Amino acid sequence: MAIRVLPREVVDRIAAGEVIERPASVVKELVENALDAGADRIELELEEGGRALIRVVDNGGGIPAEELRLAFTSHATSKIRDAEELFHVASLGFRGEALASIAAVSRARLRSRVPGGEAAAEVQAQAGECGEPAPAAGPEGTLVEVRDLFFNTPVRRRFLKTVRSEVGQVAEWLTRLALSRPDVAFRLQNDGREVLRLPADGGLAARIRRLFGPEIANRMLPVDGASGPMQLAGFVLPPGVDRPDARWVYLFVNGRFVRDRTWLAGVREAYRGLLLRGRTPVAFLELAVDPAEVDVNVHPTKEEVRFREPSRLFALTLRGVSAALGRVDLRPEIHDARTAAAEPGAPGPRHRARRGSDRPLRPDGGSTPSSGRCAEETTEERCVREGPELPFGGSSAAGPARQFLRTYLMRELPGGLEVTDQHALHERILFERIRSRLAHAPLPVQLLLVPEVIAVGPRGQALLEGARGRLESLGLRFEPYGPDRIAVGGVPELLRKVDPGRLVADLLGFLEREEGCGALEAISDELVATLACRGAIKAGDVLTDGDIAALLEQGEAVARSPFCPHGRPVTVHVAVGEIERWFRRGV
Amino acid sequence: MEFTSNRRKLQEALQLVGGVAMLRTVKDALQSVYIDARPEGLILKATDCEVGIEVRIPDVTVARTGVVLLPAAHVMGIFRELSEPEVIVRSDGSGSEILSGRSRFRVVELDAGLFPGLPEFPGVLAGRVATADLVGMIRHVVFSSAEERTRYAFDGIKLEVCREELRMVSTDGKRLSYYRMPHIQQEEGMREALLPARALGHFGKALVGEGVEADLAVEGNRFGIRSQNVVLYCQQIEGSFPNFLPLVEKELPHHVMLDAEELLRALRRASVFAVAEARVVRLRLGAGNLNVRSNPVEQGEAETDVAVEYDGEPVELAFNPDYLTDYLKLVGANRVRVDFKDEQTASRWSVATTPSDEARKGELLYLVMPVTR
Ligand SMILES: Nc1ncnc2c1ncn2[C@@H]1O[C@H](COP(=O)(O)OP(=O)(O)O)[C@@H](O)[C@H]1O
Ligand SMILES: [Mg+2]
Repeated sequence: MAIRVLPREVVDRIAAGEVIERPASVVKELVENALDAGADRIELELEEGGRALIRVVDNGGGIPAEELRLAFTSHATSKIRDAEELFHVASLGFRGEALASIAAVSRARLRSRVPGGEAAAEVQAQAGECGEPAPAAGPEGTLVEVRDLFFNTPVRRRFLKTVRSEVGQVAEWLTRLALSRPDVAFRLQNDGREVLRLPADGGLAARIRRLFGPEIANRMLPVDGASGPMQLAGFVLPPGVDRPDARWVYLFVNGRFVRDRTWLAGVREAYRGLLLRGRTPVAFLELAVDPAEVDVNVHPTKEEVRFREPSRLFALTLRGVSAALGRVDLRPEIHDARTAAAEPGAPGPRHRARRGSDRPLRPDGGSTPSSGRCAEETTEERCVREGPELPFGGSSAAGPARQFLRTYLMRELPGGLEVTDQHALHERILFERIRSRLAHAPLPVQLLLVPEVIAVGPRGQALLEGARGRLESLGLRFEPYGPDRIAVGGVPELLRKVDPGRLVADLLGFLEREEGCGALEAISDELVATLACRGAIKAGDVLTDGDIAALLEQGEAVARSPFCPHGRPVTVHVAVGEIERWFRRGV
Repeated sequence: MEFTSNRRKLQEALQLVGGVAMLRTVKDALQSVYIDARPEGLILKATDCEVGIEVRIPDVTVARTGVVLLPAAHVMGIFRELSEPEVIVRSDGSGSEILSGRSRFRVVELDAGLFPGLPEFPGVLAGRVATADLVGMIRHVVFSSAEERTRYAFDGIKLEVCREELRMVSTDGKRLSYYRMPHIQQEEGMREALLPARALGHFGKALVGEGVEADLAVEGNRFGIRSQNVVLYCQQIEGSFPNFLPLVEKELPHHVMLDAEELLRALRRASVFAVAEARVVRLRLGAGNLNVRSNPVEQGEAETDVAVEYDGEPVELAFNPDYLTDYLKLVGANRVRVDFKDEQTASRWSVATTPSDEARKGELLYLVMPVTR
């Protein structure tokens, strides 16, 4: 066969293949465009996981009607003008290739209206052929619709995975983008169901909490450091919150998600000796650096970059993360009682100021995919006003505790008053115990005399079946029963008193959420949290003095996070100084 | 209305009657006790519409007949403070005075016309049993029922009168009590009822030392027990109850005989380490020996050996210790026979019969499902 120059449409399709691999890559490109256009609200809708439709709507700067067609043209971009600027790229896009590539393998529609513009205009493109712009009705900002992805490249289309898995990939990309821009609100729907909703957040910490839930957010350790032109910031999680793969190391350079071996190696190095083999820490790190220090034009998807001084980055990361890990004493801080006694007027050992001011309010649990809702709490969510600090008094000197409102345990500690939520504390104790137990053995199962048959629907049945391994290790025994029911033959011993129907409903709730966003997977912990919540004593339960003492004692034995697994505080301390202030004493 | 009564008798009756108020937690402040003073004695009544109780106190001195409706919680609170042997209750239409020794209390009366009254005693007699037997029977089944219902009405107790036998079954899905009382006086036809466990438990207390025999009656969804001075009513509860008979009657290939008190002691020791997240004890059976040990946990472990009659293969069964101790406490100083198959199926516990107590009346069979991994 003679050498020939390929026709343009073939070139386009080959090029498209490099950038556009699956719905998630379309989403990534479109969302990047929206962010480049200055949008602060981005809505994403999928049908069939993006196979049938991907629609991205933003409220950014828009495209003038006369430039609409150019947007679909290869190598047409508004973001750089010449090769020189390629070395100072500050935007996410710069190749001018994404929209053209997308249009080459789908039926696309682009509608846009610039702020203050009279009306919107739109163009349609299909398999690389772009139509004429026409006036249209639409709000300020841009809408891009991509239908029938890969309709003209059947092989690609066949490689698409299940809806669930495509949505999972989209959610993962959206997670990365959302972490890079906490100030932007995002929403993702698939087939009319909301998968993810992120209101604009105050900062990275708040965004992490919203995406990954309190289990992660409450244990984050702040990282920061600088070296030459590089500024490193973000959070890492202590050992114990580690994962089997590196997906949980989120690295961003100037707001761009990247994968970088050297950088990842720096993170791992900081954890050397702290993790089991094969485990990777959880980290969220942002690098701010002069764009001239990094070459982003290495790979078509722009995920790989090249640093001018990789060793500097390695060293900076190692130092910053080690400091974060080493600086924090993981055990409760014990305050010396004598100090408080010696200076009765001194404003006792009050809450230490938290690093960073963006310690967030508890997000509105309902809409956040990974924030668990405590089943015990039926009233409206309470807000955590401030993360309570670790106990400031030695408990050996604690006074006897009393129950208050059948809900709180109060006792005197040197330096102040400690108020504990009995349910939250017990829940936390059970949570830690179950989790540590699960690490080496499944939970015991209380078998049932007669199986409980529970209607879960065919989808529910499939979901439960898919999670069988995990559910069995938590102590649930079940078999399919007809097409849409299950027969529960055993329940976690801990939850022997809980109605199996309710338990299964709770578990299904989590599995459904998880299905929507495979990426956001603090789910195992969430399942454990459900068990703990269901098994724990409740607010309103009367406790004997013995119960109270035992509970508080057990509470001290577990590695205590100051929050219950659902993010509510367990214990709040009121310092003597605070109380004295109420009475205007000793000020 | 005015009468003089033995203080302790009246107090006990008030506790039983007023106790109906405590069966349901809602509206308990509104619960009231109706007192009817007649020439032949007092009749105390209370109802929460689903459960009703009536207690007669024959030997009181009624100076003036009449009725009053008093708030149950207040009156019971007052009686708790009294210690003199006698008490006088006197009503003037707007309030009642309670006089005892040198104390005087005044309680606002409620409008007696508002008392809903008790339903008629069910007309169809199902059978007649010795009250003491009935009390024992209730005690042996109530503890196995659940507080809440699942798909099944596990908060209920199934009662059957059939083949001259009175049977009661209760279960929470993990263990089951099945009590058979043979040779009762059965009326025409077979009767069954599903009764709220909490109410039946209360009835058991009300019947202690009460007369010689009690009538059981069922009609429609109403159920009643009547003895000499106590009349008890409740409505049947709705819901399904699993068919338990195949479970109770199942052939189980192995058995072991042991001393209930010894096992109870061993279980208590092992339970020290049966922590909340895994309340499990392991029973390891070998020839002539039962090793009772806690599931090893961080906090520690405990084990005790108990001599038993067993000559089968070694086997290990695991249980929630509470399910076993609940039963063993009821059994007292007796030998117990445990029939079982394997570590996945229910074991059946019963008091080992010796020839001398062939004539013993009722029998409790207790099933417990094991815990596995
Ligand atoms: N959502 C949007 N809002 C405003 N302009 C957009 C949007 N999407 C694309 N554009 C315009 O279309 C051009 C081409 O986009 P694209 O093909 O993704 O290339 P690139 O982002 O690399 O410039 C962009 O440079 C930009 O001017
Ligand atoms: Mg772009």
